[in-house]
Amino acid sequence: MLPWKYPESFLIAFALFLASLGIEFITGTTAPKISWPANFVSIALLANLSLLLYLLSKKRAVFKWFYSVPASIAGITSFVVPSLLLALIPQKPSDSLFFLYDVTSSWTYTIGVVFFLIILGTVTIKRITKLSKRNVGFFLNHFGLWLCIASAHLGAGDIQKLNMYLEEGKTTWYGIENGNRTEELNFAIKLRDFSIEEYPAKIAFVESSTGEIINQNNKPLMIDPHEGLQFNYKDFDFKIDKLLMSSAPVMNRFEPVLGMGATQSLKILKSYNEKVDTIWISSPSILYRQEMHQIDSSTIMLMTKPEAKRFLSEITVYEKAGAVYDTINEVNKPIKIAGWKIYQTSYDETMGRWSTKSILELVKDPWLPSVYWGFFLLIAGTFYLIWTGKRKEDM
Amino acid sequence: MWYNFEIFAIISLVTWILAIGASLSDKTGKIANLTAILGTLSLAVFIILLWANLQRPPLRTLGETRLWYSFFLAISGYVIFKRWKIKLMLIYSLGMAILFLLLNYLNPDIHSKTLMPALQSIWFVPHVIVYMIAYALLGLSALFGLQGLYAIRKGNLKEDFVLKTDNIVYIGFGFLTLGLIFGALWAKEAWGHYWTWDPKETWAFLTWAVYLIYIHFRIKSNLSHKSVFLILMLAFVVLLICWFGINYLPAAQNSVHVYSS
Ligand code: HEM
Repeated sequence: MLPWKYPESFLIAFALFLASLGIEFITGTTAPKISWPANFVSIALLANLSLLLYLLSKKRAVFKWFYSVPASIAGITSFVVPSLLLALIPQKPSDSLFFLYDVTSSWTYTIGVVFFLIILGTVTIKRITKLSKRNVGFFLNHFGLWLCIASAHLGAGDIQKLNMYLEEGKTTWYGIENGNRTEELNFAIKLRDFSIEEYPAKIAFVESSTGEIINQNNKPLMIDPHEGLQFNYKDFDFKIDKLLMSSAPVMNRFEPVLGMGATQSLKILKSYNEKVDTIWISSPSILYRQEMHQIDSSTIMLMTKPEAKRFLSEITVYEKAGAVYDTINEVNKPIKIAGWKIYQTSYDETMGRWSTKSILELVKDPWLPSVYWGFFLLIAGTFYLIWTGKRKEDM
Repeated sequence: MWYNFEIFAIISLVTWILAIGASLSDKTGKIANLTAILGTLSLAVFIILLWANLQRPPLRTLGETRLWYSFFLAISGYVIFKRWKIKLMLIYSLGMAILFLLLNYLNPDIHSKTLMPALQSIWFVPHVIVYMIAYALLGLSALFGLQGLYAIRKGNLKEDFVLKTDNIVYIGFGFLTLGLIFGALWAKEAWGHYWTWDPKETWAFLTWAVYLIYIHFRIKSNLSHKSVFLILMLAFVVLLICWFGINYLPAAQNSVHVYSS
C-alpha cells in the first residue's frame, strides 16, 4: 500500500515551491551556479540520495512514495511550473523579482529541478533491480532523461564562452568574455580571408510617400529575381534580362566588376502599351548610389540589401603545443581547436560582403559528452517506446 | 539530372495514390503494401542517382530537402501502419509525401531560395519530419478523444479503444522526444548550445511535459474515461499554442523560430 496519493504529493511539491520563494525573499540572492568539482559531487550525492531512499523503502513503506506515480507527477510539475514562467514572461536579467525575469537563476527553478531529479533517480533505481526486456526500455528512457537533465543543469557552471574578434591579416591570441574581460588562449588564429556568398537580392515594391514595402494579400510585395523571370505590376510588364551579382555603375548601366563596393544589379525590360524601356536597379552599396526605378507617381521598384547564403573565415591556427595549420570556419560547421569548439557567428554587418572582420564564438562544455550520452539513451528508449507501445497490464 | 525527376516522381505519385485508395477500401491490404513500397523505392532510386550525380548528399537546396521529406514520411508512415494498423497515418504520410513531390514538380527550384546559413543543416530534415509525424499522431489522439467522448455518450465505448488511444499517444510522444533531441543537436552545431530556453524551445518542452504527465497519469489510474479524453484534447491545445500561437506571445519576440518579418 502506498503512503501518499495525489493530494499529498502535490501538497509536498507546493510546500517546496513556497519554501523556495521564502529562500528567494530572505536571502535576496539568485541560486549559486556551482562548478567543478562541486557539481560533480552534487550529482554523486543526488544519485546516492536516490539509492538511499530506495533502500529505506525496503524498511519503511513511507519511502515507497519516492518512486510512486503521484510523486513523479508532482516532481515533473515542479520542473514544469518554472518553465511555464519562462514561456510567458520575457526574460531579462534584473535585480528585483528575478525569479520572474531570470527564472533559470532562481531558487524556485533550482529546487524544482533537484526535487525532480531525486524522484526520477529513485524511480530508475527501483526498476534496475530486476532485469527484463521491459525494464531495459524503462531504464533507457528514465536514466537517459536523468543523465541529460542532471548533467545539463549541474554542468552549466562549467561552460565557458568567449568571443574572438578577428581582422584580416592579423593574428589574435585572446578571447573576450562577457564583452569586456580578455582571456589569453593556448592558440592563436590569423584571419586570412573572410568571405560571404550572397543570395540574389529581392526586388521590392515600395510606396514612394512612406518608403514602406507595399503589401499584397497581407504579404510584402517582393520577388526573388533570376534571369528570364517575368512579372507584372499594375499595367506594366517586366522581364529580367540580366542579373549581375557583382557590378558597378558605368554611365547609365552596370558592368561586372569585382572590386570593393561592387553590388548586385538587374537589367529589366519594362513594357507598357507596346513601348519597351530598359531600366537598371541595384542593391545598396557602401560606395555607389543605389539605383531605383520610379514606376509611377506612387510606386518605386528597388533591390533590397542582399542576404548572406554562407559566410566563412579562412584561418591559420597556431597552437601553443606547436601545430600550425590552415582551416575554414563556417556557419553550422564548427571546428575544434585545443579543447574549444569554435563557431562562425558574425562579421561587420555595415560592410556586408566587404567585411574584413569576422567574429567567432568559442565554447567549452566539458559536460557535453555526458548530456549526449543521455540523448543517446533517450533515443534508444524512444524507439523502444514507439515499437512496444502501451501494455494492457498498465491500464 | 533533375530532368529525370518526372519519371520517378510520376511512378511514386501514381503508386502512392493507389496505396491510399487501396488502404481506404478494406480488402486490398496487399495492394496497399505493394504500392506503398514501390513508390518509396522509386523515390529512393532517384535520390541515389541524384546523389551520385551531384557527388554530394542532396541536402542543400529546398528542392533537395523536399525529396527527403517525401522519402522519410513515406517510410515512417508505412512502418507505423504495419506495426500499429493505424491506416490514417499511412494516408496522412503518403498524402504529405505526395504534396512535397508535387511542390518539387511544379516549382523546381534548382537554385535554392533564401535559407539563412544556420538553417542549412543536415538536422533540418530529420527535425522537421519527426515533428510532422508527432503532430499528426497527437492530433489524431485528440480526434480519438473526441470520438471517445461521443462513444461514452452513446454508451458503446470499448476498452480496446482506450488502449489504442494511449498507444497513439505513446508513439506520438516518442516522435516528439526525437524532435526535441534532434533540435537540440542541431542547435549545438549552429548556435553553440543545445538548449537556450528560446521561447519555441520552452513551448516545445511544455508540450512534451504535458504528454509526459498524461502518460504517467494513465498508469494504473482510476481516472474516468471521460476525463482521459478531455485531458487529451486539452493537451493538443497546448501543442497548438506551441505550433502557431507562439508568434503572438510577448516572450517570443526574439525567438530564432519566428521567421516572419
Ligand atoms: C523520456 C521520458 C519518459 C518516458 C518515455 C517514460 C515512459 C514511461 C513508461 C512507458 C512507463 C510505463 C511502462 C513501464 O512501466 O515500463 C513509465 C512508468 C513510470 N515512469 Fe516514466 N517516462 C519518462 C519520464 C519519467 C519521469 C521524468 C518520471 C519521474 C519524475 C517517471 C516516473 C515513472 C514512474 C514512477 C513509473 C511507474 C513505474 C513503476 O511503478 O514501475 N517517468 N514511464
